[in-house]
Amino acid sequence: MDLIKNSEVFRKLSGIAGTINNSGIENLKKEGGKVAGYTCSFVPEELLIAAGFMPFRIRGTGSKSADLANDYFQAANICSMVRHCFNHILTGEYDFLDAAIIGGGCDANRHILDNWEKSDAKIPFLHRIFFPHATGDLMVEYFRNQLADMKAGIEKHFGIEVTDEKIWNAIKLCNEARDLQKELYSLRKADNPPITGAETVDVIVAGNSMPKEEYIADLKTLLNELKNTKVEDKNYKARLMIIGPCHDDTSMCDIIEGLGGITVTDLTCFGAKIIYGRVKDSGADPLQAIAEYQVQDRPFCPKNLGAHPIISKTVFENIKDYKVDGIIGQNMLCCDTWGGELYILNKELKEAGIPMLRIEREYIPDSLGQIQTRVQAFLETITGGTQ
Amino acid sequence: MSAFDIYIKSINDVLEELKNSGRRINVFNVPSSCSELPRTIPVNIGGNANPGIILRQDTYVELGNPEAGSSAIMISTNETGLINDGRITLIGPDIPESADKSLPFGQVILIGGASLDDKEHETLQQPGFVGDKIEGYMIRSLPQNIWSRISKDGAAKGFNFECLGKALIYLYKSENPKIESMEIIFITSAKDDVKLLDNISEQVRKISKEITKENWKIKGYDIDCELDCSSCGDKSVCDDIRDVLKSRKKKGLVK
Amino acid sequence: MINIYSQLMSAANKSLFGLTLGPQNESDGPFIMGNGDFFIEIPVAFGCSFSDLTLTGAMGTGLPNAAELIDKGTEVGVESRLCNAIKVATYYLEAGLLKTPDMIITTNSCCDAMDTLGNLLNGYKPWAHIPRFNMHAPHSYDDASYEYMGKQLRQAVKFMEDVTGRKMDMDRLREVCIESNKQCQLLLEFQELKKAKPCPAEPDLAREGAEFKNWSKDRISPQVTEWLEILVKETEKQVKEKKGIEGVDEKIRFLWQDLAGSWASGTVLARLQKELGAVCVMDYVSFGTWTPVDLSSEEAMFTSFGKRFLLEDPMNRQALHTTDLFCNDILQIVKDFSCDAVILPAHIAHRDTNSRIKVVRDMCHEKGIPCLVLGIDIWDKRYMTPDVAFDRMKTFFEISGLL
Ligand code: SF4
Ligand code: SF4
Repeated sequence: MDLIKNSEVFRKLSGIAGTINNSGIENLKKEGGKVAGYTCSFVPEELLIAAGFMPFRIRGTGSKSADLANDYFQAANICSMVRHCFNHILTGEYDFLDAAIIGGGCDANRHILDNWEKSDAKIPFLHRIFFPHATGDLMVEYFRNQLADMKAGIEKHFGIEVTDEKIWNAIKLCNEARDLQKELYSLRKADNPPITGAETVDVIVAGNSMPKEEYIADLKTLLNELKNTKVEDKNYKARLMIIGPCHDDTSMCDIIEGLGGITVTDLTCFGAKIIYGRVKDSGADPLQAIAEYQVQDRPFCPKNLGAHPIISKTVFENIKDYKVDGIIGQNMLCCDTWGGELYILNKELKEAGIPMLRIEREYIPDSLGQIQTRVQAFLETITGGTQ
Repeated sequence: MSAFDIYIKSINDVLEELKNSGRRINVFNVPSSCSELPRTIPVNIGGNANPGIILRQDTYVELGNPEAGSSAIMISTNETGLINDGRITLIGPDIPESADKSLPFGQVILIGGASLDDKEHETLQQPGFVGDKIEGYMIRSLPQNIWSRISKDGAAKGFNFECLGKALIYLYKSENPKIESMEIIFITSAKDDVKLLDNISEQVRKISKEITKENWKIKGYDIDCELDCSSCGDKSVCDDIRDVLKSRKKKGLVK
Repeated sequence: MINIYSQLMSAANKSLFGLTLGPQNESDGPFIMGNGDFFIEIPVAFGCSFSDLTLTGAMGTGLPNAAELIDKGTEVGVESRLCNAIKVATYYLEAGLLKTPDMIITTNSCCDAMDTLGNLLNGYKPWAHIPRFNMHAPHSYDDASYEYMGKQLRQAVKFMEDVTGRKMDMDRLREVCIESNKQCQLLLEFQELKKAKPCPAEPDLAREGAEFKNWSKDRISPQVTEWLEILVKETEKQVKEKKGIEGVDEKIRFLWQDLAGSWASGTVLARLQKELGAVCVMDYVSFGTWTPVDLSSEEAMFTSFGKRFLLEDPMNRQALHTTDLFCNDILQIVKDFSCDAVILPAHIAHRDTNSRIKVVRDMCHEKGIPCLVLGIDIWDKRYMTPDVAFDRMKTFFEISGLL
């Protein structure tokens, strides 16, 4: 596995995942390119790309404190992911953005927009988009209307036209990236995957932080390298899957992998959830295609009242496909909706005899030691303490 | 030309429609200067003129009960010429003839002032602006709609829509010297007639919301019309908002 | 003389608590369980009972063994900082204490916690066979949103018809709405009367009336109308005679911009009123705008159901929408009800309010309205005790120059 560490393209992607602004963005901006930030995985990158933006998924990477954001969001009662992201916004980390689309995934997240508007942090274009909290034809129509509003807002503001053709092309581009990401994931089905969970996190996060075409080219190179890597037998203690909301840093995987386990797959908002399936790439109405993908096909957010069956189905498929021995269910403190989902899943998994460890954590972990001990105990339970 | 002007036109269209369908229309052209107005109003006007609550049993007529229908619009424009200063139009029955009734109520206030700025627009928007300042008249607490009562005592003193219109003109103008002209339309003819205002009022409300938003973030924020119409995502009013901001910027009303 | 107001209070309370843990009689008809509010006129007209599991949990936190229930709810282990009302509801659910419903109807209501409860209901294995229907309440309030919500409520009716094999009698629905409209008018009348200085009646009666109307076992019945009639008539007398609440020397009027929860009314708010003359004239549930349903056509009826659900259902109004609406309401209430101060209890599980702290503070500051962010748990008085809350508010009133 050292090979990947020596891989130039991996180092590049990992560097991008480990920071907010990067040289690619700087170059793009120098050439007159525009960047649009967004929160929540249901904000369609397709539409942003079609409108000529480089989409950037807002995260709090590198944040050392949420002090400024804590004026706006009461620290003890609001998810730290939101607070660290907003702190970055206030300190100017996101000044390179030309637009931001805030997806109202949860109560805390949707208030990023309200607070952003009233803060001194300026952004030329700020728009909110809501994901339906139930599923059905009416909701697809609702989300399609949300997309149409978002498109119209961007068109008016930037004086551009986002044609259907541009959207179809962007859909194809994003599907291509998703296909390659899925290919990367399937390499992890092997007994000795050529890429660890931590490394995968970097590769996937980079995908929402750089121009898509460049990412696709890099991913192809990386996949090529990985396929040609001869991996030695590692005899992992356990193959784990991570489930939960944002998982955009490697700390959890680092712990697991440092203890002799390996993360082989996930269902998280920065991971497998965004690479799931494909958006239909032809037909009469590209917005309808995106809406159907987001509202019907994808394992969506547990803020949605019908989310559990599809999440559960996806989890069980993954367990089988990736030969998963155990699950780490991790959510941020104060994340009610994921807390509920993990609770239900936990019971189901228990019935199916699949061990699960639940961890409530802060976005920027301050007590890794404690988490480490719990993961160690969990790994030992799975392996019967024999290894 | 300000974007709200389209809505002044829409309101005129509604008036035309109601006229053509045979509604009873009364037009009062009243003196519109603050010095002249109070003398012509039969009830007291100004701070605490109506300090109490008008109870059900003391009510002569109720206006805009949600079951009867209610709609209120306030539009301010920089084009003072679009407004017929001092004109009060009433479509439908007047107060004296409506004892113990609950009338539908549409109220349109058109305000003109070449130098009105965004802050004023926001304040003028508040439906309770006239609050307790008209004797015998009480506005009930209900966001969005206007719902009010006229007391028996007020009615006995001769309170009618001409009087209400005059009182509104006086209160708005004396509160805000930048207001140069004011015109008021009342509709009491039928719920469906009042409903004709709903669509216009929703559009106007959206624009106002955007302006309110602007007020929050306007400090030092340069509104560049080519690149910015703030965060409006509503396509139906997006153009209008852009026009409002553009024209306001041109006139130096926003930075 | 027994105070008429306390009689009203106890009648409403009795009816309200009569619903704990679901309907008691078979004659109550098919039983729907929800995670939050439903448009209550619909089940009433359909002749079935409806239980809002959030409310059941919330009422649990008002029982003598509240602390024990909350702790048991915490032990269930959904999420450590989940709202305690939801924790208690979860405990009831998981411990098998609830009557099995015939249908489940969930809606994302005002908060993440209630949505979580919706998912827990939907994911509760022993009830997996029970037919269910989910609705989406959008975070927007315009005509399109009301129509969207109205269409879903229509679909909910269809769902109820499919499950029970019965038909909704639209005339009956209209009748129920007529009664409900009367009650809305009375609630609004009482709301108006509270503008009087001094406040003529226990302000809490507004909340009590709203809960009686919507959430009790007698909901929407003529009994509620009569109750409200008495309330309004008595209070009109008080206003006419310029009388305030008995035994209260009103000095301060304030807005409590949250739910009152299960313990604040009887403790901290009662003490503030009695000892300091500080009257809480308005709170979330009292400021229902209660617009009567538009009965002009079936379509108009459902759209206005949608509107009321999205914009006027207490707590939906405040939590589902933008900070701007929240702030505008504060300003309007402060002005209309002559409030001297705003208390933002900021219930610890209200993710929405906890995301608005600075904006509300800044707005109040700009408008010269004293504002205190308290940070309590409205369901668990162990988090911040009534005494501590009282002291903080007292100090706040003092330093604001109101005492
Ligand atoms: S982790 Fe949970 S609470 Fe935080 S932003 Fe995501 S969904 Fe919201
Ligand atoms: S968080 Fe608030 S609205 Fe939600 S269940 Fe708790 S008290 Fe009710």
